[in-house]
Amino acid sequence: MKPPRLFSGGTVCTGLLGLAGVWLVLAPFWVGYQTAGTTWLRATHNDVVVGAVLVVSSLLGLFGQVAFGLRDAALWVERDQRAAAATGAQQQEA
Amino acid sequence: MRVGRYVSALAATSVAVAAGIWLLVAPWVLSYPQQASGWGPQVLTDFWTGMAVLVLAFLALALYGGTAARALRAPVASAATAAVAEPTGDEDAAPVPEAMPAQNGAAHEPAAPPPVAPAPAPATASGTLDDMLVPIATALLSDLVKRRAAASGGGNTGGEGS
Repeated sequence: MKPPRLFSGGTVCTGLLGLAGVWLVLAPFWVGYQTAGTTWLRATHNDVVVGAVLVVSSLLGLFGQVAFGLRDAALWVERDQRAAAATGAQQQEA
Repeated sequence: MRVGRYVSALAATSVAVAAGIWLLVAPWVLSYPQQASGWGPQVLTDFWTGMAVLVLAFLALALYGGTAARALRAPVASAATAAVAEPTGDEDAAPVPEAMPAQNGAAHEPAAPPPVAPAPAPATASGTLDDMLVPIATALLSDLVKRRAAASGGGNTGGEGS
């Protein structure tokens, strides 16, 4: 049986969503509809808030992926070692 | 394999889906300023970013959902593998697979070895149906072993016994 993978295509998509959040935070200033030092427009408020939400949720998702993936990998190694020990015991008895 | 990692990822992706939908409709909900030539830079930024976020989020949902579905089906196979890998201790008392080659190998000898004792019920058979089926399977196995022993012994002694 193959060991569980730590990263997958979904992980890449989650990382890209985080980058989209960074883009949303920077877009008002990058595109130029918000000048620095002036009162923020509604669009700027919206973009910064939604971008921050995207960044935080993506980071949490990636953190969960890595944390649970490491736990699954540890469980897999433990089970693999147990199966190898059982096979060795059976061969010794035979 | 556990599915906790996919639950957290699916939750994050669901947030991204909601954010993408909001970005698509936000220019009209929040009444962004429009230009005479068409959409302004604020509308263009939010609309196309929202579209990209929505596409990425749905792609991530599909990928995570597929992997989670495979992970949910995996415990059946892994449990079966664990049952094979972890001996219960009954294998010593049930040497039936080893007895079959011994019967076949003793076909040319005058006296066939005695039939092997029937295998005891496995420790995992705890349900009602299993409790009913295990004695039947044990009796059938014992009968099969006896018939094979009699057939191998009868072939050497001129067809006696059946």
